[in-house]
Amino acid sequence: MAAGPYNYSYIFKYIIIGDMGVGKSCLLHQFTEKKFMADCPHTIGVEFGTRIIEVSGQKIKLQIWDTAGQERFRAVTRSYYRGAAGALMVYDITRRSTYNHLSSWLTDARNLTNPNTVIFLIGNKSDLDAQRDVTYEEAKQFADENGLLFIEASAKTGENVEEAFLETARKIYQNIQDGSLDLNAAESGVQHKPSTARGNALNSDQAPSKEGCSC
Amino acid sequence: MAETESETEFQSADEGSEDEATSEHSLGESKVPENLHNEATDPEVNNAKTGDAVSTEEGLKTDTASVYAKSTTGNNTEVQDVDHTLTQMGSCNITEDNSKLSSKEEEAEPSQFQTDATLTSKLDSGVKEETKAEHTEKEMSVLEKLSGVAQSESSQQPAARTGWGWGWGSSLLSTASTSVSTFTSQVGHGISAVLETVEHEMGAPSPEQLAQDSVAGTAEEATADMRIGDKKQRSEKPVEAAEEANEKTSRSSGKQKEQEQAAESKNEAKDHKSTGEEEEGGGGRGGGGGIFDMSKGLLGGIKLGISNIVENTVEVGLDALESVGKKTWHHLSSGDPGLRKKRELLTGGPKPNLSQVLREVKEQAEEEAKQNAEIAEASKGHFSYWFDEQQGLAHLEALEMLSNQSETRVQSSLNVLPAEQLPEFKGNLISLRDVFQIEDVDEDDGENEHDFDAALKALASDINIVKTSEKLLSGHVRVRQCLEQLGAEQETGAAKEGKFIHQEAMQSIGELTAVGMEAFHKMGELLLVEEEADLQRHLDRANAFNRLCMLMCTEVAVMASKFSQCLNTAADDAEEPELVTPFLTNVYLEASNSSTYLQDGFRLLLPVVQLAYLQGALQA
Repeated sequence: MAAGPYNYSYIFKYIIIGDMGVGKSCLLHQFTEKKFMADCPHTIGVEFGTRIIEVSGQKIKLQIWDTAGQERFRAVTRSYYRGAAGALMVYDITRRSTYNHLSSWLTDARNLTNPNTVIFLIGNKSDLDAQRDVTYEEAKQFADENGLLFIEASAKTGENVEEAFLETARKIYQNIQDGSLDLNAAESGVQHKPSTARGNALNSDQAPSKEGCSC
Repeated sequence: MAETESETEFQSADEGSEDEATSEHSLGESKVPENLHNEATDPEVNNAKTGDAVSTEEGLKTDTASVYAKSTTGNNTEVQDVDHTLTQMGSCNITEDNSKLSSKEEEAEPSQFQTDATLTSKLDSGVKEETKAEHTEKEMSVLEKLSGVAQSESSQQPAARTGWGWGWGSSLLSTASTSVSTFTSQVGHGISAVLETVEHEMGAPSPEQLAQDSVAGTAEEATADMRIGDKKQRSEKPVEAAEEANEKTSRSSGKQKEQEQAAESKNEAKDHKSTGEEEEGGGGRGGGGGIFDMSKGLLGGIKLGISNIVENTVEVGLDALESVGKKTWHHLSSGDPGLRKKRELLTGGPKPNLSQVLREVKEQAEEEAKQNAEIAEASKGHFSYWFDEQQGLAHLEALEMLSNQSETRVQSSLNVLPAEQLPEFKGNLISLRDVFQIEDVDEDDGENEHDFDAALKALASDINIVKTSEKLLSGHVRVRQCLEQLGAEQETGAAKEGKFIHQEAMQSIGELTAVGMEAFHKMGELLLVEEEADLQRHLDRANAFNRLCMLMCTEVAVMASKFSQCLNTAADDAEEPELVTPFLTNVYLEASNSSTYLQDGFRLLLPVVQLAYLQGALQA
């Protein structure tokens, strides 16, 4: 509910995908609230989180879509990939199955987002190194082969969580700067706002005009 | 032969006097820019000085002309030709001499080097009336200077001189110089004519006076310049010779002329010798006896003429450049001392210093922070801020995406249906759509209190909104508590001001709308994973959604109404009630917006419900 400084230059849409129970919602919660949610309920469809960060002196609002990992929601969550500027693909380093499903998630991410979407691979639960089932090296190799950014993080300790989100934003911003990401494209996942931006972010077509407000 | 010679001499003498006039003009011409310049730069013009210089030149011109004429007659095969050129050269020489002398003066006494327009006028008018005595006096000094020039010239180009044959070389040179000098004098004519008239009006002093001044001036020069001083001593002797020459021209005697000429040329040769050793050496090779002497004088004259022409050209060019430059400067700097403005223009304006820049940056940063705070504060007075803060906008967007996706899938599902099943499914889809018709929301609903809790609990049994209903309920409870508190405060007199009440209203309406949107979104998502095949079940649910939408809209209307009452009470207590009126209007406006959002969200559910039914029916 905290207001904070409320003007920003860009809105980046992120989407977090991955198998159920890998810790997607916990990563988001750690990033937005800097707290670890011990008993996180199953996500229904999609949940949202926002945080304003700063990249190269530009204030950027991250609008993060945290999708449900349950297989039964897969069809629903596929509807939400469109227009994502960044995709965080999460697996659990203590469960190989979550790692094995990555190619399936990657296929969805590739097919349902635009070619410039930055895909970041996160090996979560790095605090549970004793139960490690997936080595850093093989995941790193997978990431390199598929042109993904990669990091191992822990939503519990908060290790590398910030880095993953910020690095993705930096990469997106870099794409904007070198012109490879066209902001005018409908599905760039980036909204550019003038610095005099008001509080309301996305003005959907249905949103009635607020110009009548005289206060 | 002698007669013809004498005739030519006469001719040349006449030419010389004619040239006097032209040289006068050219002199005037070359003078003009200098005068202007000097007057502009230094108001303390040394009239006497400049007068000296110019008047001596005047005399020189005529003398040189006659002298050269004499020297050439009878001795050379090309006498007449050379004669003619020489006389012209003589006139031209004088014009050059003017600048020459002044430059000499400049060397000696730069501070005193001043010329004046009035002086030029004196010269112009004086030349014609000048007596012969004056001529001779001036002649000598000018001759000396000329020889000095010739000497320096020759010393600069000894190789060229020695290489040339006397005959064709001199004629070639003289022809070239003739054309150049003619040109110079012709150009000068017009300007001097103008000057003359002007100077007459100004009342120029008599030429005699000028001549006297010139003698005094030469004396002064002599002290400053050793070379000039030397020549002055010698100038006493040639005075007689020059006088003789003048007499002889009238007598037109060939013999005397020859003697005269010889004396003159010797005189010149002496000058050359005394000043320039190199020329002596070069001349010695050319020939011996009288011819040698004569050719020497001739050569000196030619050289002098050429060098003077060149200098004149350069001088005039420089003068023109100077005046152009001065004019340009005056034009540029008019009304702009030091050209400050022009410089600023060229360098891109004044550069602010660092402290100024830093101060500006600081002010900018402070202003930005202030603006941010204002924006943050102002945004709290907006419905959309609270709606977005509770992710209402994100849920609306997600619901939209889900709805669009569902619509596409419904269409594709219908396309693959067997033709016999199509009418049945289409009919069912239409019956579902009918449930999504929203009755017009009665604006007066806000007046009628309703039991939100009971209505929500009744709906919860029909639709799977356990989690979201809790949120809705808690949101509702919070708003009611807030309203109760506001009412209690107003009763006790500790009323909040209009702005605060308005912000509370915006927060309540915005958050409730966001929660309602989330409920619709979640219900839609859950529908798609349920795989319910029963049409009636879907119809009931759709009906429940409709009622929920109406319930939410009514709740918002009731809240708006209650906040309005609070605002009215606040307005009664406030000192300036008219300030509260915009808040009142805005509460109703945003309540209306909220209803629009909720109804939009509800309508977006239609394709989702249709797809859910189709999926369930097709699976079964």
